[in-house]
Amino acid sequence: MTALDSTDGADNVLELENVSKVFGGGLLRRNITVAVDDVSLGIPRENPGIIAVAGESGSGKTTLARLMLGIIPPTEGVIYFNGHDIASLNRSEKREFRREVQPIMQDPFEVYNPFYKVDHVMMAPVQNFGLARSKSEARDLVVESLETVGLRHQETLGRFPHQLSGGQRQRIMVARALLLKPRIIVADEPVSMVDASLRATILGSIDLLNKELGIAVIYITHDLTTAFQISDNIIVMYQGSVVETGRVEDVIQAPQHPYTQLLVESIPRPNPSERWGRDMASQETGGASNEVGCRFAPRCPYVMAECTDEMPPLYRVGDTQAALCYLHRDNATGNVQSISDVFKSSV
Amino acid sequence: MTTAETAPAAVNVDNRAANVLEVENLKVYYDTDAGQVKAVDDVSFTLKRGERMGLVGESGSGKTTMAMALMRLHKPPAIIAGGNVRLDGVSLLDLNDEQMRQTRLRDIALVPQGAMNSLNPVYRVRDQIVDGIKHHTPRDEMLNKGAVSERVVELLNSVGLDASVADMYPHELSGGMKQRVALAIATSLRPKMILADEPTSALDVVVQRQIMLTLEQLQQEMEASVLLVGHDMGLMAQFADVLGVMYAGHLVEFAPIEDIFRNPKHPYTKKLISSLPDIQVKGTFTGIEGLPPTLVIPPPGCRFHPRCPIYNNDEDFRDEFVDIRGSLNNDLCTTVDPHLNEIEPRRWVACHMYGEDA
Amino acid sequence: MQTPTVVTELPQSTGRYEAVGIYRERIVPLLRYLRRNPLLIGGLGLLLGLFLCVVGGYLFYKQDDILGQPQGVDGLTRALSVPARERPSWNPFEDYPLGTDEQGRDILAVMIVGTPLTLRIGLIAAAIGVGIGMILAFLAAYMGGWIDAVIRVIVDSLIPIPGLLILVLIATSLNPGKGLSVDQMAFVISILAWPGPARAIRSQVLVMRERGYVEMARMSGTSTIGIVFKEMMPNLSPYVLASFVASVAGAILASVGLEALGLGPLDSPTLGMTIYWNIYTSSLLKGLWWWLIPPIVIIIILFVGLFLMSAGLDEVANPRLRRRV
Repeated sequence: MTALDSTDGADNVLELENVSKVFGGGLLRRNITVAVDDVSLGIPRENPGIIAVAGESGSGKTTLARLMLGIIPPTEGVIYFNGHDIASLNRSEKREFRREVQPIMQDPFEVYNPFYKVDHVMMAPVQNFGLARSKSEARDLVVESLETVGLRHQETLGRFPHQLSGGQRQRIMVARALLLKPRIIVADEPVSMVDASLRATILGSIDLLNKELGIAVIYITHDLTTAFQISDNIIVMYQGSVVETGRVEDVIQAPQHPYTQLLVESIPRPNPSERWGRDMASQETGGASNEVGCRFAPRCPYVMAECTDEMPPLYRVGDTQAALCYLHRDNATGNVQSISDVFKSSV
Repeated sequence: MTTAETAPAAVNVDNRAANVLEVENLKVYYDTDAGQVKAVDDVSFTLKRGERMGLVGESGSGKTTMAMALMRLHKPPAIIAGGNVRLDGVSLLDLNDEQMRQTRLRDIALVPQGAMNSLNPVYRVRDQIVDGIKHHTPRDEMLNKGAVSERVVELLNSVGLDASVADMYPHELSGGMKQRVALAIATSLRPKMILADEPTSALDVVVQRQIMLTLEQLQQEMEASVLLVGHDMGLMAQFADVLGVMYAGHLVEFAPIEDIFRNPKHPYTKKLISSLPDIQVKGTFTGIEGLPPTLVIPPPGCRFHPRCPIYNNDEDFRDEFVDIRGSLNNDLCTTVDPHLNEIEPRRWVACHMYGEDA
Repeated sequence: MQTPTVVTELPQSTGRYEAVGIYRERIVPLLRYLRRNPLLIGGLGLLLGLFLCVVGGYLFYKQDDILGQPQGVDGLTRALSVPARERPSWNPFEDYPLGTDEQGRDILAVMIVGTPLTLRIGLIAAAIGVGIGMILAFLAAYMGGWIDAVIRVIVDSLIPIPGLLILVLIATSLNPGKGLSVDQMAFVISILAWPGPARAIRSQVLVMRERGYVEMARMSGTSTIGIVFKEMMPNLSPYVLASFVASVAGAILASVGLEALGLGPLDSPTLGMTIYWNIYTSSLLKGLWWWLIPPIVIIIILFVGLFLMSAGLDEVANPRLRRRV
């Protein structure tokens, strides 16, 4: 991997270099949790596409999102924004980072201050980042972005958050992100609290941000089905490790890691004639995961001796797929350093 | 897979009614500041012995309110404003509070949403299971200590847990294990019916699959019926024999699961099915336009008509319903609330396309 | 992706905060909510009743036959300081509805003047206490680190100390012999009135800091000051108000305690001082029960009213209790 000496010429808007995040530890707390373990990933400036980060709760996907948003600092490794370490940005660079990397959060009610009408959450960034010169210009901007995501301002502005449906609230958040024209949107489970019938519209408008405006989208989810539907590439995480990654069609239709296979098999398919297999090869364990080797080893049906000794590398299997599993030691075409090396370009 | 039609016939032999649950014109209303909300309006259906029913609907469609009302666990300001609920011939709405309390768990048991919160954090798992058994068994029928202990182990094993779990506290268990304990409690008295309200909504897909398969196994072994309330059509497809679809307080369709997925009758169900994403074909993912109506002032006539693709002449749907559309009078949709009619054996639909209302 | 029109009951808003809009959007739901909060209504009712009695007293209770000069605040106060003209007596149907005390003062007039004085001590002390407490709470919760640690240690070590003890020391050393004025009393009491609110508000701020809308404001580039004042304060206000009401009750209790010990304003007829004079002159032994009952009854009404209000406001501040519709 090339060192990032270049500054503004960096190809990647955001680059994670061997980033880890550890919680706990210290003098009093003996339990430490490796929430994100050694992740390297680049998000390109050109044709960034939509990257899904999938995993169950406790997989570290939300921690990864918070790292990318700069809410928490990494324990190890560096996160670069336009080639600069985000830990040492100056004031104006920090402001730029704040504007360029925006979240869409899980709970579309919690992000609204119940004291204010929904206008407040839209106007705040316009004022704070000086996006408009006058009040009326600001309003036009807000109305325009609402319309882009298919909302009518007559039905949304001037209302309190509890007067709107969950779907409307979440789409306003998409409109808010759009307002700032960021480079990257990190969407953490944006539809998990919204009715199924409204999910498509929200994901549709997120997709629009990517396709029409070239905004990179990191779609954090536990739902492989929607990940398959909207993303170009996917990262599957298990207890802090990236266990499989690559083109979404490859990973989901031909999963190579035993954990991904288990996940895909367990999807409740909306088809009564294709019901789940009755045998559950892997039973749930009480938690205690393997500390040195592969984290999935205690649940893995194919576990081998070396699995519990040392963490396997990310083996490249095919052009656009990689799996963190010794099963692929022999058929691999090398090891992958940065996850995005196996991403297909979204052209 | 077992089909809904064959299973109950065999059971009929021993003189029990084929229908475990009969719900007739059930009405559950809320009194709010903004006016009366008809959260559940005129819902009727029957559930056969050993049958697994799914109940889906958007949030606010009344599915959870109705499920809770079946056990008379609805909370004020909700009131049962009318109708009838019969469990194995016994009219639940006519029981007094003590009789109802006895009926819960013994005859109709609840697996609540988010088992994490339904277990008492200061008691061991064993005590919580024994507690339920004790409170619903007449004193003279109560097992002795050793037998109760055996029963606890038996129950834990039946839900795939180790006997050692009996002496643990809830906080020592993972989410999936807690939900299994909730299953053990719900099945401890071999109820005739298990009511499961989104039992896996907070769990991961792998654990969800394990829990649902365990529930299915228990239910088949006990010949209990299950009512699974939820919003995930995928889960329903995996689990249910029959499916009820609720929209804005009404049951709009009720039919065997294969029929619903192969040939949905109600336009709402049709939209629901066609909007389901899958992992085989990309771009099959659409939504249902519009918003669910407010139940304070529901749309006049059919509550679905503002979003209905037929009423609104949606091109994609016009052809599919072309043969029956001839009989559809649009004025009817905006003026008369359609009733649930049985258009084929065990196929109930509430839509004017399938016949006039009396 | 377009949204067809749907029948909704919501009025179309112009998005401007005109008077009518504010009435419809803020006041009406508030009134509607109040109907479901009997505690708050009860508390407000008691205090309002007391307030009306005091105001009515000032406006209509006349003693010009004694003074022969204009009434109002000035006249009443003077009426009180008139030296004993009549023997202590209780005859509700004559000139003095609540009777007169040992020095011949009109007890009803004493109550009309004394109640607001006592309330004034409570309000000033609570305002200072909650004000300081709030500033420290935000500093602690927001700065974290050693600032938080220092504030927390001070607050936690002050709370268990018996307040009256310290107040007695301060009050006696400040103005030995002459007694304090009403406002001085208030300042003395406020010295110990802030740790409670500081601790309570700090924990609320810590919770609120993690709320989604605060994080969203940060992502929108809102400054820390902006987050404190625009995002957190409005939602904290019922909580601060509840804390304030509780502090008023606490301050009144402290003031009555000090006054009963004779450390209060000797020249002002506050409720606590009236009790002090009762003790001082052994009024009960002399059979002057009508002198002791009124201040005690008013203090009870005050406390019950403040307590109900505080409990009612707690319900407003606690979203779990509030969200039922």
